[in-house]
Amino acid sequence: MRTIRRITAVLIMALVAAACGGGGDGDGGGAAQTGQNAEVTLNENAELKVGFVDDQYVLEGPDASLGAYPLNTNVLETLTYLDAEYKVQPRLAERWEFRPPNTWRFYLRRGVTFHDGQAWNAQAAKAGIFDRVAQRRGGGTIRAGANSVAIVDEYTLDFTPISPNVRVPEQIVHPNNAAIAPGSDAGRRPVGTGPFKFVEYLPKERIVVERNATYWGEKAKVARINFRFYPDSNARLLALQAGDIDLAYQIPRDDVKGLRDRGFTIANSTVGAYRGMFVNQFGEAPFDLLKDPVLRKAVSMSIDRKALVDGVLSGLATGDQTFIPPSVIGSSASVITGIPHDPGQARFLLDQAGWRVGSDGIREKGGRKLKLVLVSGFPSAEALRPTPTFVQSELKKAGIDVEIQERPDAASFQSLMTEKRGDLFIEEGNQNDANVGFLPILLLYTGPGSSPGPYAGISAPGATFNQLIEPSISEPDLAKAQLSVARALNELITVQATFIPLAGIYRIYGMKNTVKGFTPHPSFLNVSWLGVGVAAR
Amino acid sequence: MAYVLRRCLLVIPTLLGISFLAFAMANLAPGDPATEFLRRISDRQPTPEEVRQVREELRLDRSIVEQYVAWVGRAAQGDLGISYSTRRPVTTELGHRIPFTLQLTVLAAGLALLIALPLGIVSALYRNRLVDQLARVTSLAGASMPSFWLGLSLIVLFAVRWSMVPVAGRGGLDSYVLPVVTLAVAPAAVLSRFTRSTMLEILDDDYMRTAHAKGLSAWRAVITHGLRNALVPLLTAFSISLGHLLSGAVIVETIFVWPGVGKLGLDAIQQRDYPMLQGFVLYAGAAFAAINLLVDLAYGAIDPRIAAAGRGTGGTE
Repeated sequence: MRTIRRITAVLIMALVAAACGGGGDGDGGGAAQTGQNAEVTLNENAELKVGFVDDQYVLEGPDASLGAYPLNTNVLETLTYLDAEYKVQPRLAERWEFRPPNTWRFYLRRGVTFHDGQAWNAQAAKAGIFDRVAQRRGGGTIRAGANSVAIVDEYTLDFTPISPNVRVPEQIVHPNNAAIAPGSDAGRRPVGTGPFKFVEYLPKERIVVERNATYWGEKAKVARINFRFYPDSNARLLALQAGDIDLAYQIPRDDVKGLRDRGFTIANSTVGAYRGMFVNQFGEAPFDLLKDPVLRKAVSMSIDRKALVDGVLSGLATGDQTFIPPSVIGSSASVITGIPHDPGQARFLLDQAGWRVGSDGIREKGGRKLKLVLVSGFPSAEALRPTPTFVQSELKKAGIDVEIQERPDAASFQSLMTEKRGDLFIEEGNQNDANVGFLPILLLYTGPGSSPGPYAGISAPGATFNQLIEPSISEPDLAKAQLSVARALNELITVQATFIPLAGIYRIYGMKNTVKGFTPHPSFLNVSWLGVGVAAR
Repeated sequence: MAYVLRRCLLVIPTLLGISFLAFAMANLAPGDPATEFLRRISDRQPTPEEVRQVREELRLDRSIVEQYVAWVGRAAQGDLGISYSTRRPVTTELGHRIPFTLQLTVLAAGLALLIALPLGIVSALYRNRLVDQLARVTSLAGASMPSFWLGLSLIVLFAVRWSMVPVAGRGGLDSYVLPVVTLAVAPAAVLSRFTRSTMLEILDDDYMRTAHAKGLSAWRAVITHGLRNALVPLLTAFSISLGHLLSGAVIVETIFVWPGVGKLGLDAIQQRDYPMLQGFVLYAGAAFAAINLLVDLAYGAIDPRIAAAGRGTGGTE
């Protein structure tokens, strides 16, 4: 028996030692580079291999999105696109103008052809974008209808949404609104105008594209891109280390230092997502504690966002309290003051509210413990770890007990929210277009014409918020719309504290040092592969 | 033939039963398929109006009983419905993925047998000696190792450190090595222990003593006489492992980016893709049923006494 134990111990130690050993290197070592391709000779015949997350393409119907969403392979293009600062830029449309009361005139780019040789013009835009989107429920985010488009001339069209929509240029950046060649199949063989052409797609395995030699703009710097799907982040990371891929999406923060030490380049974008907690202020016992705005503010004050960003999130985030990325709100982001970290004030507020610290360090009042339930699960509990644990420890210092309930996926998370069975709901949400008011209005607006969902069901800030945000719904001037939204978000975050921001999240990409010219985009739907090259050996 | 037909007919109520259970459990799970579908395709929270429309499109506004009955009616005609997530027929998706799982299954099962049988026999023949103890420790380790840990460790060693094989993904022959080995380890471990204990019983039987007395070597006696008698219980144990392999190894398929049915089933659960989930459960149930039937038929071939008893009672019971 002793022999068996000894042998077992030796075998296990050997396996662990081998598994914990180092891996490959970054193909060059040395200090991390920014990925600029100045003074570097690029291999124009190179195939770039990119590791993405899971394959979630829809392959049939009006929502078919092969090559476009969520993995944007640059086969298709939109009328406008989102730059890395969340500014809307021209692409297949050179300029546009709003014609009151509800029409957008787009002046299309000339000299563009689809990959199959068809000409890009107003007729193609109508068929390839607007008629396709019109088949979706509600006409998609741009609210396209069957008769929404009027052709003005060969390169000019008027688009009138089926309901008032002053944010069309900011919304049409989404890859789901890209132009496909009339008659082509968006779910099997997408034909677009992009710098890359579709080559092949193996479901759940890879999608391959190649350089479009007749592209209207600057030619791509690689001959081919082989996008491979790696649902498991460990496998994706190991594929990068082994050299199976050149660039990987969504590097876990814990692995950033290790990759840098091995000579890989880490590139992060500006804020592209928010991590925060929706507060249940409409719950019934035992989820009724946060009906009290004093408690809500005390919770917000107790969280040290700087420690969260610097420690838990490895500095790859910001402590912005803006709910949506600050660059989307522009200069009006400063209107949102947020609630500063002030644990002393938090304790004072709790004391004043009658919550006394018990012998176990947890506050109580009238025989009831100050215990909150924190539900974690969007997009998944795993993606959010260990932020809920951090929040739990921060609130514990203030004498608030927190029970963490992890849900395995978004559906079960949403279900608990709909049933209002939790006090705090932590999630990470993305901003993938430049429509400044879209998320707050969609989730929290309860004014006329709204359709409140589960988020409004727990966290709707109420009439003042509605009044402050309403002007943005019909205001075509972006700066004015941004100001209106900023004021409403200040009401949400600072005054009502029914949403507690935790951090603004960067997108993190890891790559070999041979990859040049990659610009990390805060919205991973809008990454451009045009300028990315591979250094020649 | 009558026996085979009878067994095939018996599969139908079995499959009905498990499909109903799967349907009921899926509907009891929290989360709404319509909301999940909309969130995935639009990358945002859907409006209640959109959810209502999609629920109508997907016929989720009908009662659970109505939905199930409609599904059974279509399934009887070979139509397993349309996947909520890809919008393609479930049969098409399954048909595309099953061969990939079969590839891994056949190879992993073969490898497991290649490892388990000799290991178990050696272990039994040299009982309590060093080789037996080593074999038992190895099989214990193999049975205890979580497949995700094993898979990732093998990747670190053979793909990253030594660059001998790719990390993941289908490709050349070398791309099969790590997923097949990862899949084979657990069943090999279990089977080797089973082989050992079965062989130990057989080695003490009279006919084995007779074989030794006739001058046969230990190995010759085992191969010629012992192994065949051990095959019946071994086949039973092997069939269980094979059933699990055929149902798809979710973790291995996820880590190694193998587009098999296991990952399909996991995605269906996470995305609340009820038609795909039903299709997956049907496939898994049919796989187990088919294996059981084949094993029962194989018993008669391996042991004529079983076949004779079966003929006497009207089947290999």
